[in-house]
Amino acid sequence: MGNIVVSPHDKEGQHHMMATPTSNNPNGGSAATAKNKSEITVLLLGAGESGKSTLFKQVQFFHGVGITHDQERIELIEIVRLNVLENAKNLVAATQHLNIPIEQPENRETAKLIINSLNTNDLEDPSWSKRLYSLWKDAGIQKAYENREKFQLYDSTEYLFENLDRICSDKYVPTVVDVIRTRTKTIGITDMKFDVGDGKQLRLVDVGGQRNERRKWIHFFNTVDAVVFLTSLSEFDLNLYEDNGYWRVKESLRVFNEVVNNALFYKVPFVLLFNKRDLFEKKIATKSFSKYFSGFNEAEEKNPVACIEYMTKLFLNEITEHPLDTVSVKTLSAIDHDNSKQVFEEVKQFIMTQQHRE
Amino acid sequence: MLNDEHSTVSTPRGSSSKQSSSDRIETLLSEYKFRIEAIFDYSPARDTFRKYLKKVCLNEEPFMFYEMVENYQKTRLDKNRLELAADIINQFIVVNSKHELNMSMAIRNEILKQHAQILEKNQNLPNLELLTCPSDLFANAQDVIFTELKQDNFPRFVRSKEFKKFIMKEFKKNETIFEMLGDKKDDDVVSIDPHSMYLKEHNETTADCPLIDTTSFYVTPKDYELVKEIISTLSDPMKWNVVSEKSGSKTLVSTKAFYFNEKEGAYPLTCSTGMYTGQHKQFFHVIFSPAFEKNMKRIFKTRFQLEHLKIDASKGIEFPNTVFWGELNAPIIMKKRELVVARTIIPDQYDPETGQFNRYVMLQKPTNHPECPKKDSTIRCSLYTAIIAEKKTADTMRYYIFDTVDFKGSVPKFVINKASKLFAAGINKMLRSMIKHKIDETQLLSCNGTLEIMKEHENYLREKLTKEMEHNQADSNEEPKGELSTSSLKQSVEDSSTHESQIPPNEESNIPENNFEQ
Repeated sequence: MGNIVVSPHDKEGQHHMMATPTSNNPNGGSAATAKNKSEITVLLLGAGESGKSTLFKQVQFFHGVGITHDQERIELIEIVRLNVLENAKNLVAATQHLNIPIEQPENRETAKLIINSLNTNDLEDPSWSKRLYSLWKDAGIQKAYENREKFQLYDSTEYLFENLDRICSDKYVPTVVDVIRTRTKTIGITDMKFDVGDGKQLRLVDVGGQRNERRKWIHFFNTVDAVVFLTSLSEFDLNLYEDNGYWRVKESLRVFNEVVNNALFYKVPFVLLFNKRDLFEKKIATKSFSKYFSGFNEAEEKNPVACIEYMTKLFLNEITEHPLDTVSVKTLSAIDHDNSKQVFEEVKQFIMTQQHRE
Repeated sequence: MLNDEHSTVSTPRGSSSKQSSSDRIETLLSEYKFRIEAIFDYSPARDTFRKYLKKVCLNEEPFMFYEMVENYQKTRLDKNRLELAADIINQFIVVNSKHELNMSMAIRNEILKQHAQILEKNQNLPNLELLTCPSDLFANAQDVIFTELKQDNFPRFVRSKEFKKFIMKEFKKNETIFEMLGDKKDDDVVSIDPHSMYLKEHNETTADCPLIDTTSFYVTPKDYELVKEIISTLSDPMKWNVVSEKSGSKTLVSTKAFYFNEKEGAYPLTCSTGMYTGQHKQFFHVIFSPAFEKNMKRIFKTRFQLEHLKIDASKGIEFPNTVFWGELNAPIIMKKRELVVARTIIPDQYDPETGQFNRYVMLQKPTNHPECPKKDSTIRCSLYTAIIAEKKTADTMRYYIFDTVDFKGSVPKFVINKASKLFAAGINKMLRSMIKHKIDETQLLSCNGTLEIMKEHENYLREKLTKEMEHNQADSNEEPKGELSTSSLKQSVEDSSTHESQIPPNEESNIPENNFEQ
């Protein structure tokens, strides 16, 4: 890891080392026991906001178990609106912390209401669509948004504000894309099963990614047949939600190291997904990538392929125990349906072939 | 108004069977929106939720925290509260604590900071009775944790088998359990206007698609290809959202938007589809029935035919078309709205054994006509409809009705709502309710030249196909495929070859029964 320069505002954070498994087959017997099993358990792992749940939702959708009916999606209206409110609150709070004034008096009025009294029921009113949109377009809020690496903000902020007229309508029913784009912090564990042919079922397990959540991962380590590890390409300028002074890339690398080298996963097929490629490409166009990685050639920092190659090397360098021929690396844009479908299909194929080799 | 007619339609499966109690619960479950607040207020429900969180989600901490904070807030004596506060902080808030909560650093630090201030304030007090500890110390964190439960775990809980089991048990004791824990969903919300709902979204995900062949003023084979392509995507949940589903029929709305021409806006497409006991041709005859005509008068104030185009390959007219003008019924306050459409009926999947076509497709698209130029005083709308009826077995058929309409200009929402209900879903209901009645074939109406076009097209194809068939039998050995160049015949051949892997076109009984099967 010598070639990584720690982010300027990084300080040593508390490490949540995952408990050492108290398994009686430390040589990675899980894959062996998986032989002839009718259920293949695949774990989605990764730090917070790496896109595990987004991919999980996509897989649900293309296996027809997602929330495809209006009846069910009606239940999510409040959640989408909560997302809007949280985003608005975070932006307003950021203008205060960053000392950026909100320019228009009527937008300042709106900001006050958002912080103090607004709730999701109020949003069912087209006039709020106008007010919130006007706030979003305020020069002050936009300036804060441009500096969003300095505070915590969801990736879907822009999407939600651009769709306010729909979301604030009294006839609003969340669409599939709304469901995909809504940020919900996963707490605990959730899973789904679907047939993959050959009389086999794939059980996909989604987990929370923040530090405290990782203690729960261990419950599944004994029964895992494959691991899909996600990391966000676009987090190179961001710090953690649960620890504002800790660089996300460093955290991702650390978690990856702990997982990939875990004795229980020895010989288990392992997929590393570099997610949020779409956001990443947009980001490096305006932000310096090399500023965060001293080992990276500055002249290449606008070239996404070179950047991703560099990131790949960083992650693969972490692997000390796991056999490299059972590791697969791919990039992904989980919010993109077609891309998710294609990548997940490849992941599935990789896992199935690896299983076969056993 | 259409609902009354619809409710009398019997379902294809037969509506007699009694609902089992499990089915009834299932239905009720889908009709109610449950509230986490109500679950929290009813202790048996709360316990079920708690057990679910612990066992299934491995996420009991928020619940334990929530209850401890409740307890904290109820505690009267400041000194006791102070002790409890320290306990809560050590168990839930401190990093690496036993039940550490998933919370942002900002919230955690805010609590720790406040707590430190409280401790400082309480130092060096002359009297323990002067101790203070504010009861709202954890209020913000509790709110956030509750909201997160509501967003992440709760929706999963109400769909879980654990919740269903609980509800079934409760329901036996108390039939009002549903009212207690939730609200009945508003039916109206479900049949939402699909247009405004999806209007913006397509920009985010997928590019708009052409819906019609813009190179021609008439309905062409390319138009037919487009609709077939659309049908092939119907089973993809990312491309279609189910708006309603009942008694064997379904209404869906496309997530993609389609345009008539690239300059104007794109709109989602509505589709009604279903199976029906009956003849597919009879289904089509409904369109020409006096009863249907009566219903169409609710939509159109006036209609008249402008032109009948016969098949003429030399002019590029491969399907017979009728072009007609219509004025829509609209509230007086609105500007007049009119439209010009080109319409055809395509008989397809000819079965030489019965001499029948196993599929009929009616397609209409917006067009222009020199006799009805656009006027400033009226607004020209665009209407697209495709009705497909195909034979499944001897006495069952499947139909698809697609449509989208662009009213142009500003239209009050209630009008759009009414209209979108009237179209695909409305036509679906009308057809389904009318098909029961025996249709007297001698009473069929022209329907602005549509009936004539259907007959013309049928005769044309039958003649063509018979000729080809005879021709094929004459020199059946080396028949190059390319010679079957009549567009419509080629149509059926292509269908059969793509779906049934290379069947020689001269083998009689191999025209596939159903190409649209998904």
